[in-house]
Amino acid sequence: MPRTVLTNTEIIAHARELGAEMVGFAPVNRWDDFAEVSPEFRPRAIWPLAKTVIVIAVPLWLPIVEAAPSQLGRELYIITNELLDEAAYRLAVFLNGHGHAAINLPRDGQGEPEVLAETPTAIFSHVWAGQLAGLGVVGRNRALLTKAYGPRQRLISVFTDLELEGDPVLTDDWCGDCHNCETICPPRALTSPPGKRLADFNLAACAGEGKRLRAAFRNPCGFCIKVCPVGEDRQLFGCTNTRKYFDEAAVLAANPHAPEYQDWLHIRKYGGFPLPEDPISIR
Amino acid sequence: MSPRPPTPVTKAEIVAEAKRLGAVLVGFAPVGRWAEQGDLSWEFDPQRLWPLTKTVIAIAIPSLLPVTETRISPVYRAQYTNTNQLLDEIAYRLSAFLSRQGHAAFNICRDGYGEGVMKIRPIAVFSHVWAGHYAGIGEVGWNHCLITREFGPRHRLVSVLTALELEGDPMVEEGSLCNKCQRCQKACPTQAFSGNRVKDRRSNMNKFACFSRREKFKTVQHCGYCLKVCPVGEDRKLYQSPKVNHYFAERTALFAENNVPLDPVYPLKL
Repeated sequence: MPRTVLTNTEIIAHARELGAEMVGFAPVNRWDDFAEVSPEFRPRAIWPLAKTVIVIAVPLWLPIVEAAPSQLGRELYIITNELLDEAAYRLAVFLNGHGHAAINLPRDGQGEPEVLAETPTAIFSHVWAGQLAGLGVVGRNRALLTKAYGPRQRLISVFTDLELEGDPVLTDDWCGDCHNCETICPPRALTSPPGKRLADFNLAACAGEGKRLRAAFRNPCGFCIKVCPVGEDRQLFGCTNTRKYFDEAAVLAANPHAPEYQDWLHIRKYGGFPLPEDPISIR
Repeated sequence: MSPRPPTPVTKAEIVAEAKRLGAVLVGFAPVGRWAEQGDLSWEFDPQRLWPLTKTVIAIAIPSLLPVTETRISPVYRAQYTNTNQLLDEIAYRLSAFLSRQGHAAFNICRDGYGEGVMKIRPIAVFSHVWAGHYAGIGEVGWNHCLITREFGPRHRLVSVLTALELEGDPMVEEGSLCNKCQRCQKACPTQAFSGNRVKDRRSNMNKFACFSRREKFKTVQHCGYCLKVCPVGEDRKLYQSPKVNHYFAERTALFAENNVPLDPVYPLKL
């Protein structure tokens, strides 16, 4: 198949046509240069022909994320996952059609939640790929923080043998010392050792909570992404007060009809099973 | 970090984008219509779900009549699944189209329930049917479905909530599409509909009865008698299926023989 020249701009335009909101390019040598990901999870270890990783992101809507756990949130998770998988697959086929070998990696996928207990790592980290492709920076909660949506997006990657110019890796440090993600996490899966920028992550604890919510059709949890003050979406959706998440339990315990929380309570109430063991605000 | 200033977007541009993504019917409902019309309790007002809502964009795509006519069948179920996925993608991407231009928007998924949840709470978080009614793409009929001029009740719906103020589309004149012929009531295998066509605007619906049928037919779930018997819809002409009385005859014939109700087309025990 003849190789047709493709520019970053043409690839971005096609990815956007397929539903991508954010697109970034990372030359594979960056995994060696930055050395944040262990060697067996670097692109060339997974597929030796890889020259560039194209990372795609689509947003999660803050008004749904902050109402979690809810069935509506679960559906948003499913919709974005399906869209990402299709966009990445079709982008790989588009590249192949121009003579450039390409494969899509699935968005983070594990079979049943139990799989995480045995193999607590995905095949490839889209989060680190997103940082190396200049889409954002990895935050304390180990999610990718972007300027537009903070940690509220889903990610996927396409590997190609086409050499493309990389986007500049961001040097901004949006993730400060607020520790909101760590404080709010219901199963206490995040703990920051003193002086470390990224939290240690207890994936088994996180997965256990996911499993519990999934049984009620109300996964994922996403508390660590709702509380993050980073992201222009906070202003766009008019949700700038992150204190509200921490005050919720006490306010609702005193008054279950507190008007400022009725939208979340409504969203939690329908489509999934109640969670009787939880505080009134979550149930 | 403050977002870029919003870019003006017109209704025509939103409709064009929705159609590019696969939408067939698109309507706009100013959020005030929920309270003005008073059909639903405040709990199901879009502003209860998201206080900044100004406009609800209702989107419909058709369920194709010859497939809908097969009623309980694998092809009907497949159509249901496929249209649901398409609707969710359209609404999600339309929300992204608005949000990226500085107009906060998000999609409410097509009616979604975890398996078994309908047995305890057969109500969705938001009524797309009433949204379609207030957005002028149809009127709520006797069967509690949105009756549209184009497809009668044979379509699937989804909604986008946005903080962008947009002019509402005119609502359909009451009674101009559903004349309460009550064929839906007569055809319903669970007797979910009841009421007086002179006194009541639409039937009382027993949702538990309706959903009991879904429980019974787990593998192929969806019933849809009340959709296929509805005489309204330009799709009847398109598919050369203008008459509805043969649906009633078919049912009798299928149940008559030795009381062993087998469907000869889709050999599935009813």
